[in-house]
Amino acid sequence: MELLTLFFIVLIAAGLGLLIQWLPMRHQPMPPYPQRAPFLGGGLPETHAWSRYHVRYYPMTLLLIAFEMEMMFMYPWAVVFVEQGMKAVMEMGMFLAILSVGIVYAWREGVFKWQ
Amino acid sequence: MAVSWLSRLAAQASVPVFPVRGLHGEEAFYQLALTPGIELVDSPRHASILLVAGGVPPDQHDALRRVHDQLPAPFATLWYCSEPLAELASATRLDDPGALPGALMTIHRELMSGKRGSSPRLLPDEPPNPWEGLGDDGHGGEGMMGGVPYGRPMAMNMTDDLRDGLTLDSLTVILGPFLPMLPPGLSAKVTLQGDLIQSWTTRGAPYPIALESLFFQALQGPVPIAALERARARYHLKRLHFALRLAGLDRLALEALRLAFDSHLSLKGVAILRRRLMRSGFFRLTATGQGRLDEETARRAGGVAARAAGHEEDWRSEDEGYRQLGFLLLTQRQGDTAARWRQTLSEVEQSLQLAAQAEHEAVHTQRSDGVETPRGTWHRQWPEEASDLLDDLLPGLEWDEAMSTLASLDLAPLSPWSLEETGGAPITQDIGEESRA
Amino acid sequence: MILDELILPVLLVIVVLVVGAYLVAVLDEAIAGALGMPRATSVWTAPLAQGAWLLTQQANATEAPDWRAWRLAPALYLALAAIGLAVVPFSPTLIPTDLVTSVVLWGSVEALATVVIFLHGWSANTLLALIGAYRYVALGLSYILISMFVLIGVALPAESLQFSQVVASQEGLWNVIRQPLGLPLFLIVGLGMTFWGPLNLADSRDLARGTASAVSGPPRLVWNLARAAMLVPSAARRRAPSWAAG
Repeated sequence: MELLTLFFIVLIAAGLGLLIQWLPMRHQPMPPYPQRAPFLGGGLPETHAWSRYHVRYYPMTLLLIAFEMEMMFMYPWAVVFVEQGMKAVMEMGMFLAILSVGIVYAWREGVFKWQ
Repeated sequence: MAVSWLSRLAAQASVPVFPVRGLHGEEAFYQLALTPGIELVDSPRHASILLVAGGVPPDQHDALRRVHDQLPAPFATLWYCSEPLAELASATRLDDPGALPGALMTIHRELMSGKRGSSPRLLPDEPPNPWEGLGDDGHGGEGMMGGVPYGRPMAMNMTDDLRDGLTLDSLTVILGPFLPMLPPGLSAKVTLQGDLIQSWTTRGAPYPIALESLFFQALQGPVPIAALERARARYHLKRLHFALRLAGLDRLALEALRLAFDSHLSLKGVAILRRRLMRSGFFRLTATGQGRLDEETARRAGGVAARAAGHEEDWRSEDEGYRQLGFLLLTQRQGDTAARWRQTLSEVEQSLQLAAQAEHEAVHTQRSDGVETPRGTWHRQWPEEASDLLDDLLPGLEWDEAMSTLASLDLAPLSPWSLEETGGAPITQDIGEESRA
Repeated sequence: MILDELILPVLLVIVVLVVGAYLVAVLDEAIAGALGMPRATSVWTAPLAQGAWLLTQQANATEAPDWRAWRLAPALYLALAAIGLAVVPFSPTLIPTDLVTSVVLWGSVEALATVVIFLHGWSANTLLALIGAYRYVALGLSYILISMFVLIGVALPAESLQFSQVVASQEGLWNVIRQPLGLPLFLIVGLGMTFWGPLNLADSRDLARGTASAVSGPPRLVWNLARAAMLVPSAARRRAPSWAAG
């Protein structure tokens, strides 16, 4: 039931967002080409803006996945932590030890050096 | 009826104005930044009025037309101390700085109530390149490559990345001369890889800046040092305003501007500003050594930039009047963006200190064969225009670093006319107090 | 039953979404006024007037935008804000949807916000908006990391991923005292995620307002609305403990 409610909330909020855009715009003509040109202070681009971009933080995104995986495990772990006590600490310690190998590797590859 | 109710409400909104800063037009915007009910926006898409302040050279009229056409309807134009484009002959022109805020508000209200129609489009409604139906995939090229899909070519890998040599797409654009984060008038052809600047070719120099008439008088005969130093402090505070606004520190930016327009500008106000700047991390944001000028370029840039790089270049140390006041030349060593701002702030404080002292002793300048302008030494010749040094300085920087470096450099040439002569806003002493009340 | 569990919560969230966004805008105006920004109209009408103006303004288009993504992005950001609100405990008993995994849900909202903001800047096919989008992705990663640790810190003592349990666990001792770092960190994440004030780096001035630089009119209104609405759950989340105590 809660999920259904949530579903309706998402649906209505997104619908509201689209409706506010669509209602005033329905009779609007398409803006002319000079208006549609990208704003560069009077200058013009030579190409489209979409491009293959050098994602300099790409290794960092990989690192984020390492952390995210940790979170996947940490969520349920957080629930039973107080109940399990020492055992939970050791389990998480083991998991983090394995994970930190990945982080150390990333470090060696120079992820933390921006550029 | 619902529509009229909506537009009546919309008429009450603060007036979003997109500033086009023409020749000697900047003073008007300082004044507007302090005016309640006017909002200077950063993109023409967010504006309902295009305000052109100051003249625009004829070769930049096309660029102006493009910016004009980029405002979404309904919008209007206002020309302050500027001749409207030929097609817009009936547009409103205004030369009185005091009437500017009122005129903007009236125009906005008239636009919303429908009394004033939207400004006409100036450029023909044509795509940049026709593309449909040509070539293998209808984009005008061969196979998957080339052509002009949707009017423009796609980005192609032209250059190797500056940092690690990876070859990816680069974007070449022409920026300016009315881009709000660049100095007015500066235009450049820039190649970007993502937000990294690969190459920068300055195409148009920034517009000349008008100094207060005191600096011109100093070349004719002795002038009171107190007034001269206050004028210098004002100049630097206005530049600081621009940089702080760019960094998103709006409140501090306004504080700097209010100080600049404060008739009782004192050391105390600047000390408070310095403390707040320290706390806001403004100096730390730019502390990575970016925008460092080497010795030769720093000398060319002159003024604050030269002294921030360690050059002991200041006409004031040649002047007997200043020596009498115990003028001490301040320098920094690093020569980067942060050093330039530290130097600027120190010089503002020093100027106010000198002013207070000189007022007390009624000291005048002694030599009139030269003067230290805020832009650099003016002796025999003007401080030269140096915007082409950007071509070597900016490549390799990311967009935000490049913009903050640009804001910290004062490269525009000096105007042969003084601020008072250019019809620009007078040194309005009460703006600061008015808006504070 | 349908009324209690479906219609009322949905209504509550939508009302809080709109009213909350409006109050955030009012508060923003008021703070700006108190800090010395020049202001003409009253703080109460200024956001409404601004909204009305955006409704009358023509919606801009770019040369070849990704239409669907461009129009969807603001709406999706608003939907994410609504999800955030749906799991906020307004009082110990009044929670629109008291999911068992609401902590996880909030974590995913933060991750998805990164996607939506990127989409908003990318789909315009305009240089300055594109740079803003890339910039946010780089920052968003750091925001996610910070907030993850705060969220886990909240879940640990509660032994649950349910916000109602989190609130209940604070009856004896508030989390603000137990984990003093949590609150400021969470506020930073909240401001960063909605790029508000000094943390406005995706829609900043040096990019002519970044991802929003190419939009005007109604789409911009929705974008501004969504940003303000997103700030509501971020702020409300931390208000929760005080109700628990009261």
